[in-house]
Amino acid sequence: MALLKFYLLLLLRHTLQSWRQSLLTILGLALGVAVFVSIHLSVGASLRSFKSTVRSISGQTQWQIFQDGRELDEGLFPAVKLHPAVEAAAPVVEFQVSLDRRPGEVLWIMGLDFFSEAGIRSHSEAISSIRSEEFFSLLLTPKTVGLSRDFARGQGLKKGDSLTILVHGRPETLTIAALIDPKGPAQALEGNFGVMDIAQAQEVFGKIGRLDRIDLVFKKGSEKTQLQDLKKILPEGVRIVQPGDRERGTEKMIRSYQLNLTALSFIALLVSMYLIYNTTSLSVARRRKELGVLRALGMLPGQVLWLILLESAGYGLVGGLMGIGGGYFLARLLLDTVSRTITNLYVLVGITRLSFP
Amino acid sequence: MVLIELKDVSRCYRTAAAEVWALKGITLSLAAGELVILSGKSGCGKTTLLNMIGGLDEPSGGEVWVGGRNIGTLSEKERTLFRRREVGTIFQSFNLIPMLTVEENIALPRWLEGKGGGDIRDRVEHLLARVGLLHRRQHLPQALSGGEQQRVAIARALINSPRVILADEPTGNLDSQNGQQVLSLLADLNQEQGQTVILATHSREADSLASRIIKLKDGHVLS
Repeated sequence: MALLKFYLLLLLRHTLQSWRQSLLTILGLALGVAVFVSIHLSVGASLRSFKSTVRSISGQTQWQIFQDGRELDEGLFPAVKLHPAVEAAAPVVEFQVSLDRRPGEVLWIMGLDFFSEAGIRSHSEAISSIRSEEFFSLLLTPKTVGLSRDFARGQGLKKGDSLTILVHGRPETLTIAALIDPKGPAQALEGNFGVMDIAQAQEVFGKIGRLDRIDLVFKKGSEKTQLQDLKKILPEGVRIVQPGDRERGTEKMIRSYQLNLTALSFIALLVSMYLIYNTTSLSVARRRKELGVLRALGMLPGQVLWLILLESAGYGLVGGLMGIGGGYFLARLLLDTVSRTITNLYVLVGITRLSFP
Repeated sequence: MVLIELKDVSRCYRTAAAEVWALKGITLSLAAGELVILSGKSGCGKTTLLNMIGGLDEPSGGEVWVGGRNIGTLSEKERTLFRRREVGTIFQSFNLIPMLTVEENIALPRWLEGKGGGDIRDRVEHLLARVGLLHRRQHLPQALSGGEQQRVAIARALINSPRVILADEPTGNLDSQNGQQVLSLLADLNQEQGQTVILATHSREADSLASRIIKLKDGHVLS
């Protein structure tokens, strides 16, 4: 204990004596750690947002029918729905829109056939919060949308207000017919979610006669046999996968993006580590005489090593803690940029809050 | 009782360019409680001889025995512990740790032993009083005169009650008054506590204090 107190006493006094150099070292280390942490946090948040979105949207969906790079022919849906192996099927049209005059804001709108939704996305969740008159309005009134309550609140919108979105750069004005509770699919993209009647969505998004996917649930029985049977009626190029498979594919892409950024951020960390090494080396060189005296007085070589390691550890600890805190704030600044990059490259993600994993 | 024995001790410093024999076949015995002066011109081997006895260096040939132990056969760790526990070293340039106060410098060898608390406090207090620096205990070495710094170094050398005190030109950086004070202090400690003191010095004033004077020339013992 006495020895440890001696170490700390000596280190503290040396640090205070050359406080400018110590401060520079700590700040340099903190910056490297902050960069690393901010990238980890922001991309990690994107990943979690994406996974949460997929889970929210998928609901009880066991399988999804889709076509890579193309939309499905709407005529496929009746054949799928009526297939003997299928318990429930629901067509889906979805579109990622940005808001007119609100740069950086994105909204994910799902066009749903509400009558097919039972057994796919539970009606006891968000969609069941739509009152009947609102429901009919969504069905019958053109260009109406149900918005998540959280999103509407954030944008200062209420029921009956207009919302102008950009579809392929073209403005479209929708009327907010309902506000839906933040449950189930309305939790997607951390609440940046809207729902429309599928026919209206097809018209607004220019997808008349086409679907983005068909979600389905099989009847109880041998899933392998049912799958084989269903595949026989699917046209060439149309695939049937579990939501998790699609999720894993996109997740891999996001993780590769994360890997790239992490590799780059490791450079910042390496520089920080070099700073500590450099500072410690200079400190040892400067204190050569002092260390020699300590050895002459009977300090063991291992004790000298501990003294030097403690100094490095001290810089690492202080700089690291500062870097973690700084990384959090840097991540908040980078959040929008990272989110938009991932959205542009891979998949729509919307992050509004960060958390340490 | 013989405390220190050197048997045909030699030390050679080899470089790519040259070979320098700092000590050549030194054989001598020193009794416990002696105050021995090593005298000779610069480069005659006084410091090398002190380093041999103090475990700071290893002989190229021969044996160095201190307190019944052959220093040359000790491992690095054993030699370090030997220096810490058995030897108190006083240097010409004091070699105090500038970041530590007077009392912290004195306590340092005890801290290296892992000792702290009341045990150290009392001992440091006693030594501060003995060297007349109680009033300077909280000061840093830079605030002290040369003589005061050397007295701190003496107190530091005594903290672990070593059997041998080695002083290499302890008055070399001091004026005559301070130098005389330091020499008197060493002589008093030798008398009071019976520690063996080996003093390397040019100073003729020390001769009268010594029980024995060993003259060195070119690495040999003259007398």
